[in-house]
Amino acid sequence: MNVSAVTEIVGDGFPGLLRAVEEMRRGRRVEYVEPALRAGGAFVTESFMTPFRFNLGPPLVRRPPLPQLDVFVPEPLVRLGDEVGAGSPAVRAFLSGGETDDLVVVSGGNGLAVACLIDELVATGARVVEGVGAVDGPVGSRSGPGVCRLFVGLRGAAPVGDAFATAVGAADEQTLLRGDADGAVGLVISNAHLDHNLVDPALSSFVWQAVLPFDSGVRRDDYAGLVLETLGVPQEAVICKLVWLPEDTDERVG
Amino acid sequence: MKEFDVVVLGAGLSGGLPAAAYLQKAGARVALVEQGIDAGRFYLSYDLLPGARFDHSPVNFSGLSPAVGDLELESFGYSLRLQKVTFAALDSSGASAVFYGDPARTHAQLARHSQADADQLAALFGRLGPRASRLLKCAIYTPHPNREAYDEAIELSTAILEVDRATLLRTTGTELLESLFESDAVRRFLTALPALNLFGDLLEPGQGALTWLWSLALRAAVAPASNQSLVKSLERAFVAAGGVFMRNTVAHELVVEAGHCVGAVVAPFGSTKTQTLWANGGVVSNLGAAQTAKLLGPHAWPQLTDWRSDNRVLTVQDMVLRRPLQLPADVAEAPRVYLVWDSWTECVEWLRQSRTDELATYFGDVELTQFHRLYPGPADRIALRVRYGTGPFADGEWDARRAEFVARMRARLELLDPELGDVVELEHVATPLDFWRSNPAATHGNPIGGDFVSGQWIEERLPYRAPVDRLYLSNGVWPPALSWLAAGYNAATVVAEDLGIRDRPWWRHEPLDWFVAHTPARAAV
Repeated sequence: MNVSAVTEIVGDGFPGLLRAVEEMRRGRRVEYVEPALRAGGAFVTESFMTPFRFNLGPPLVRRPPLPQLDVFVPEPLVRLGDEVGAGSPAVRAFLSGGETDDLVVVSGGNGLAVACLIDELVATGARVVEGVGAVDGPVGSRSGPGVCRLFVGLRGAAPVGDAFATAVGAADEQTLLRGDADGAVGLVISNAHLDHNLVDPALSSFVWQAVLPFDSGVRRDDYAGLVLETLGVPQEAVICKLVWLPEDTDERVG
Repeated sequence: MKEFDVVVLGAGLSGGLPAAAYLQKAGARVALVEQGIDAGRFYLSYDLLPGARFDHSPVNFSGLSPAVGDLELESFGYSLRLQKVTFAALDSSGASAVFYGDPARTHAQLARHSQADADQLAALFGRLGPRASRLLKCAIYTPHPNREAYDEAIELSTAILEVDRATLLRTTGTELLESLFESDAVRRFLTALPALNLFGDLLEPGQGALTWLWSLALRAAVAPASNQSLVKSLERAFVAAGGVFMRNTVAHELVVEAGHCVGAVVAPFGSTKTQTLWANGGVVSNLGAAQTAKLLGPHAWPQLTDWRSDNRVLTVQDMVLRRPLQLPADVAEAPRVYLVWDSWTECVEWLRQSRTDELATYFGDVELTQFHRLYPGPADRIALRVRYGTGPFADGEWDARRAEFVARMRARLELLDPELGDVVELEHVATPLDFWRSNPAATHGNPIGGDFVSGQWIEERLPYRAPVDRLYLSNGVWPPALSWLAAGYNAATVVAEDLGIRDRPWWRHEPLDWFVAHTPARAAV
């Protein structure tokens, strides 16, 4: 009997999952063990604030090798002041965690791409186990600029502009990527590709992504209040909101 | 030749997912349709903040399910986190009891309140133990209506309680507790779990007594959390067996031709590109009574459209604290703590009120789940879930009610820990309306497939074999949903019988088999 060797892959985020699929498609047997709660690294779509879905990490993802998925390249991607278009490599990297080639938005969420990749692995005999590691908080050294996200679900329309991501408080790239701990400077990112899954069409959601220094001392409620006020979102329309500061995730810029 | 033998609508943990996994393994060609990204999404874990892990549903009864053995779930990653402490109960005067896996320690806890009551509970468990598997088989792991199984479940219950059948069937849960236990505190502590409305209404004659006893049968096998490994192992068992899992896909219509349900019209969520999934044998709907009626249109029958699901629903508040909530030392060991009523009179009155539209009932039965004891993380990321209720849906004004509910629950918790307000890093409230918005099958946010009002208990639940030929239900049936996987097990049983594929050598495990084999000390309780 011809038994192929087993390739064991431990975690390694979305690239690790893609590697596992590539190995499997080459005919190798794969065992995929994910210490984190979900496979796919930062590409997680979560429903932790019912009923909304949010991509917890970057909104853009390298095009997954799954032709059945509904994906699209947003056009325009970014509005920065009067500039509307695909944005610079630095801005695209900010929206994708460093990936700059062949970036797409997955309708339904990045987690859908991850789940479909895992299905393909399992259907061909791979063993896939997630959540086997300890519950980790942030562990990295904390300095320099990091990524802050504010997840908002609301009644009414989300304050997103005509681009997938719209800069607020910054008319140029340098200001945007420098951030401002005392002001609302960042990108409002459309969640329309996730909101179409909402049963109630009167609801919507969006993500605010900004640069803040690690350990800036910003209080979550104060920061959320500042951003929402800047965006003109009334408090009474907000159903849920959640701020993840750079020190929560250790996510750095670039 | 149809494309599939069975189409399953809804990949919930209790019904659709196990039904699909069983039928696919038995040889049927199954399509499983789920509007979310993941199966069983109300049983997954999530990190509200990195390092602060929660479960959507913190209670796990799967250890008693035959599915763990039948479907070989351990080979797909299933595991259970059994703890030494099962749960604790605490009132505002500080009276408490801790329930351990070790029956001797539980006995010692209850004996602090009443030696006779401690002995009584031990005797009850002694009579229940040898009958537990059969009782679970008859009451839960049998497709109802089934008069023979129902009668046997009652007969077993009379033997455990040492009462005659007629007496049992006119006894409420509160009357039963009063007859068994002398201590006011012990009665309250032993009401906390069944007050969750797991099996029925404690104030209904017969139904109430059986509800209390059958909830007791679950206690030994209750594990906190770990539902994610259960969901993922079931999902992978289904896909590995060749099942077609259609994620992010919503059902638009059940197709009925000449009185037979022969498929479903589905589309990717948010898309108008529909397709019809034709089925040879049947369609299993796990979408709730109201949704199923909507999809059937003129083929719906009155029981579906009249089904009540507007009371005993949940509100949940997730809190991330910078230090643990202050609790008495032994109580603090428990992963789950019930804040119970201060007197038996108050408890009975709360049970009465909870059948009404009084919103105040949400603050009478409070369950704290200390997830940081199950998923230890950083010391300043303490994950605490507060479940209020149960209570009525009342109306749709839940968004406006959110802040008031948070303030009232904060006030309740500050009786335990006056400095709580200084250590809350963040909190999030999910109301019944939020649950309903997220899952249209959970009408009014009801997670157990309907109320236990007259005409909606055990023999009168929705039937597994629906009045529409080849349509099978796994939601609103008996038993109600939760993680014992019974609705799906039973739905698969009737579909497999009708398809002629039930007789499989692996489909043979009994309730509690897995649990007894893996945790003999706990199972002996």
